[in-house]
Amino acid sequence: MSTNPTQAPPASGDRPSYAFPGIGELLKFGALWFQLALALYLTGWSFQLQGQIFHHFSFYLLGGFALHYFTPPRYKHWLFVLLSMGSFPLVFGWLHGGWLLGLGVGLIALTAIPGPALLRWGILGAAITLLAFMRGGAIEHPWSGAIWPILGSLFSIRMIIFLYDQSHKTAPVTWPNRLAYFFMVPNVVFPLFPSVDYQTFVRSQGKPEKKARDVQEGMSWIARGVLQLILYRLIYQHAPIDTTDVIGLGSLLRYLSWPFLLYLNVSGQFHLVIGLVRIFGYNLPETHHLFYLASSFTDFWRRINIYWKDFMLKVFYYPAFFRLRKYGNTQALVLGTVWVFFATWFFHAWLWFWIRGEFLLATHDILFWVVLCALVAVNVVLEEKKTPLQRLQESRGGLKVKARIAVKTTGVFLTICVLWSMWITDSVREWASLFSMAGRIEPGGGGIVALVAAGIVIHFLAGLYFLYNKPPHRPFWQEALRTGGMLALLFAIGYPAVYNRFPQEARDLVHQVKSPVLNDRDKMRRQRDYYEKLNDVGWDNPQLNEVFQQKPADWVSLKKSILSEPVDGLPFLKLVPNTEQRHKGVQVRVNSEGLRDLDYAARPAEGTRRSAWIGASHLYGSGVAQEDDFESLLEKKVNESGTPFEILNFGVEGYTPLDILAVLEDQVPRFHADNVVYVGHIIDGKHGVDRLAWLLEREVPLPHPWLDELVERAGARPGMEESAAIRHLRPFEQELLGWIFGRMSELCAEREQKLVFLFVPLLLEHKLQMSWEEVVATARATGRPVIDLAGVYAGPEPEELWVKPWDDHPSAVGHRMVAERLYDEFRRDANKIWRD
Amino acid sequence: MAEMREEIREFILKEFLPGEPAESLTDDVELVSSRILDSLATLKLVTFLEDSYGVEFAAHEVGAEHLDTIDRIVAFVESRKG
Repeated sequence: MSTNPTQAPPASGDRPSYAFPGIGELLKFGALWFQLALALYLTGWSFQLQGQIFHHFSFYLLGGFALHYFTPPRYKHWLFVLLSMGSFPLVFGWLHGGWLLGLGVGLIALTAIPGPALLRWGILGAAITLLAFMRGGAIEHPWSGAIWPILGSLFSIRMIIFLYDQSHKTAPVTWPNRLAYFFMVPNVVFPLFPSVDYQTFVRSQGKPEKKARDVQEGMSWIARGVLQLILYRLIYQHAPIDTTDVIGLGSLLRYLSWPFLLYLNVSGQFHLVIGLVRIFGYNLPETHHLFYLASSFTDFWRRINIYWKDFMLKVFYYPAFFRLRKYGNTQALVLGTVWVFFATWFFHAWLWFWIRGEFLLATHDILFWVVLCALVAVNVVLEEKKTPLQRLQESRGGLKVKARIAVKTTGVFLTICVLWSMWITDSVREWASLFSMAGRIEPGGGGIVALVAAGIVIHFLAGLYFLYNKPPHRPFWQEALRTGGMLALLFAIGYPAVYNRFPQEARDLVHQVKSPVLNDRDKMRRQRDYYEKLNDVGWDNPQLNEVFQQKPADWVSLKKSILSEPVDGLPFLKLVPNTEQRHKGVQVRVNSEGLRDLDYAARPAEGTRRSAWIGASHLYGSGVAQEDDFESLLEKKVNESGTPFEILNFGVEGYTPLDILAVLEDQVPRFHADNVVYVGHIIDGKHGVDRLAWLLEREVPLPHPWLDELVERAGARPGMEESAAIRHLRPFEQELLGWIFGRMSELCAEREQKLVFLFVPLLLEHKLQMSWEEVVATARATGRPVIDLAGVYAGPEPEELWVKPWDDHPSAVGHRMVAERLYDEFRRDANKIWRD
Repeated sequence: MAEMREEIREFILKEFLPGEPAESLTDDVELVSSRILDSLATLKLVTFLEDSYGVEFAAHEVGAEHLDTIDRIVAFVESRKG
């Protein structure tokens, strides 16, 4: 048998002449095309599993597939190249698509420089370093930042694999092979792309006589990918909770369960990607294989992201083993494993760099890889001594043997679940603090415990089932009917005329699964500016990822800009007087008094009424020009009506009710305002607790004895990890907010100032402990007037009023709606604001 | 060559497929692609081939291309023995 590694790909020129397809072939094509159309409809439209850019791409793919299917074999490879390269201007437009193609072809051309490999690598390394500096923001570039994730996805890993294969001559290196490999057609809409091996890709071109069955295999993987992405959406919308919501054993088990299950998103996308490549005749192997059913940690490593494992084996593990085996096989195997995990960690960070422009350097991320490495290394040593049994066709071993393997399978799954939950948590300390909740059962927690126990039993039975059954290889029509039937069923479930006939709960469930909105956990984290941290906008949320890839690098929270300086206490930061900077898309100027406002004299002019407004980001006008925020608009309108009126804006982004109380205590008095307006939101109770926990973790002395007493009563203490402190303080949310509002009222009474509570809705719904009514009622309990702006944003969809897709603060239009409503309130009952 | 083929088959059956009937491991059964040989098993097989037939593998030669079937293994070893 010939093993010549440089032989030409088998597809080209296998058929001397082109035969027009017969009826059987046409029917098969029809079945394949129908399945593809259904799968793309489910992905792009029905379940909205991909963003808007997928729509044009879907039509392109349907046409390209039909054309490619009937193209003579000798031209197929070239047609794939053309379709692949053509997808870039289609998705990115001629300008940005042109840049992507130009940069890509430029990099590929560098791999063709004749001469010594070291020279070629040196030039290529210099080019990639230059691009990396551009990506990191150190050097200006003329193209849109939106192309970086795709450019990184095309070249950051595949270039390494290509250079390895090129240097070892393991596969033919031709221009069509290069272009097809790097620009592979689905990559333009899937930045998260498997690390396809060059040698495997070149050798994967199928034989013409097996065409329909090979394409059907790809179609089955596409359908599996769609199903996994729908399951992912179901889990994403319902399972995730925040660490601060872990208040007992039930919620702890829930927290430990969902992160690993969300990996279905990666598996689903990879199935879809490789399936789409396979329908063009490249018979690539599967990327994931029943990874939830691994029976050991080495087995897990082999089943999850198989392409990554193959990349690591080829470029790192085998070379390391061959160099190190002179020290003994066991040592070489263990050191090779450590080397592979180091490389895995580094190249994940490298990939993230191209996606987000900064390296992923987080303790919990490093710890995750260290622990997984240790588990795999121990397994490697054990397996070196005793190789695990394999099987050919039939399952061997009795029930006892199989049951033992199934128990191990469930044990591995549970361990990975726990490990994965650490990976997804912001810090190891925060994650460790969760386990202190294991000793109590919260209300409703028993049900979750029972559900998790049932899940464990089901997992064991699934493990057992797959030990008895190997997936069969079905003939074309059988497999086509099975896959097409599954897709048709998903289509029916997602079709409004069908699911609207379901009972209300089932209808709501389908509706939620079809919607790409954020889950409650992500909404809350977004509110807290958590998504500035790149590892929070990652593999587990494609919608958010897509939006955040467009976010400019300077769209950071105020605390990271030169406009503010941190304070080790309350308020947690202050604006720096006389500073100016472009921040969140607008020019921000801080006046000489440290306010984002016009300059005002210490005392108002005779006959001018002065009002001090205290609040957080909405009042501050986050993302809008100073003259467009609702406070400025109202001030202007009242003055135009003939009433001399000044509003001093004390709002600062990121403030919580505790920060605002500190502002009222220390900053407001020197401006001699006639009244004070507190601008609040539904989220105030939660934010108050968050800030108190923040102070406790940093061991900042609390400014009031009442707060010390509350902390003691709640069982929290200084130095406690922040999320653990939040969990202790959460039940006291309303009490804390009531105390803050009461303290504000007392202060204003002492100063003979009127105090008004003004509540402005948020543009993103949150699932909170305190309802809108409870927050408003807490303010009313002080006896002070309350202005309730519920419904102020009625009319447009909330998203239309967001300042940007990645920032749900109100835009200038939203601010104008608030100002107009306030002006109406002002005209209707000025007494409410000015007199007791 | 036939002797080598049987020795390799016997080694694979003994090390990785104990209890499996010899006739089920035909010359074209895919060993790497079908995950009968994982990375560790592949390296064990390589060590066996090197020790038994005096051939040397380079790191980039360890993979399905040369080790996926008994046919391919034999062909590779033969080509190396020259």
